[in-house]
Amino acid sequence: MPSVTTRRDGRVFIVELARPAQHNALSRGLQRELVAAWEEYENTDDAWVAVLTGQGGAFSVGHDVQELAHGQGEDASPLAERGLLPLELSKAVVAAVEGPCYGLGFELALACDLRIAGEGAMFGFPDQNLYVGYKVATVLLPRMTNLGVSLDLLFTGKVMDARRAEQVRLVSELVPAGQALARAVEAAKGMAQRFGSAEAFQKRRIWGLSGVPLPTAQGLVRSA
Amino acid sequence: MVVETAPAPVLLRRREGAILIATMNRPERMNALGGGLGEALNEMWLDFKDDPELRVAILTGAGERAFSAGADLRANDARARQMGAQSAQEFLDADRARGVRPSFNGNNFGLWKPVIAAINGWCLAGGCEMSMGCDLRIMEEQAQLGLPEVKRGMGAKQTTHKLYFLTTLPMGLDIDWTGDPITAQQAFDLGLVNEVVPKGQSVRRAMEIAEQICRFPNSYLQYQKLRLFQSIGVPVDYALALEQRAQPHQSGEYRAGLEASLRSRLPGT
Repeated sequence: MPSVTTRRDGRVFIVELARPAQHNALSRGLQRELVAAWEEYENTDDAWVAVLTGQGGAFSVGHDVQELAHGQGEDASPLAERGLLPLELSKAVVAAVEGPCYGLGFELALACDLRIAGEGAMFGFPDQNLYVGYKVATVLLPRMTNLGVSLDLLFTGKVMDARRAEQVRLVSELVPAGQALARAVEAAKGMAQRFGSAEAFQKRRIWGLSGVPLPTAQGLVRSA
Repeated sequence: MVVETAPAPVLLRRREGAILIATMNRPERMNALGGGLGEALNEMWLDFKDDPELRVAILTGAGERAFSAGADLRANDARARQMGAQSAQEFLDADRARGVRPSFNGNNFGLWKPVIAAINGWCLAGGCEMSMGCDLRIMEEQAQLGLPEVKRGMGAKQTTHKLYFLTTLPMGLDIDWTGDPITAQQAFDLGLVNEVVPKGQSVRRAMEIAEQICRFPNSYLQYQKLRLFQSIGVPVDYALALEQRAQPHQSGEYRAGLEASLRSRLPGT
């Protein structure tokens, strides 16, 4: 059985994490399938916006600890080694988050461009026995929210509810529990319609300006 | 010459296991940084850094009124008059020339151990700057926080950049330019403080959080904090490339942690 499924809805490319019995734990197999799904999306010319979600009421609990514990010391996360792919795509990706969104799963959601969350969504790094090192979250968290909130999540293992996550800008839109996917697809369709092409989002350009000194950024924009 | 006497220590240090609780103890002066308090704090942060048994520090103020009101303006004023300084800036420049460095920020000392501010009352000017130099801020509901320097013709120079990293650019400017204090609830809504607690509860709650932090190995906490700070203000692609090249976190606790992780159950699963 595949652990990632893809389907189309007009211009929207929907990617679902499909290991609901494991709360969509990101096994190495799943990660490889996910990389393939992103490559398919990137190469599908008439797909302009993607939506990433998890099946079965959880976005993802992160690493597959079973696999890590019984593995032979293979790479913990091929996805993380590739900078978490959604961020590197030229086209937009919207995360639709319900339930637990933890660890590597949280990093995956952070690497999307927008996060739409149902009210029951929960964010954080709550596994205080898993010392994998969240090298992508340390780059992305302080850009989405602020330094104090980032330190709180990484140091305390605290689980943040969706309402607070929206308040501190980790969630772009909060919807009633169970509505995240429907709303994300609707938002993605709206984006596709408004922009009229995949390129018009200028995703790489916007991300590329993050962390650039302001005078340099202004120069880059002027010369573009 | 004004001689300040300090019958009680201006800084109280208490240890609870791996946790250091530091209490600024000049309640009659709203725990302002005079009477040797700044120097005592500097010394304490260095001791904390070098003490292998201490893992997390909590910084708070004595009494019910204040966390800290910052620089002791009365003491500074007396000294400025004695020096013949014409302006606050001249006074600060003279301090800088003498090599006096206020203890605003644990990070000044390359400190990678977590520090929690338990904000138990007024948290103003240099006091506010100190709280912003901490990693986490727990604030009591009646407390207020602000940078009133602008109202005295001064700037909160150590802090403008921290406000930007701890809130947003427009909110940083708002706080810095108006000099008006904000309530605990407003600070929480901005994400500037991590939790709001009832009056008198900030240290107790900070202790709970410190204990929770201590469940992570030291090396892991330091690794994460270093990675976080090194990525700030760096272009995102470059920061990610640096992260890919960084050594993965390696610690002796990793394997045993995995076994424990298998037995634990995460919230909502």
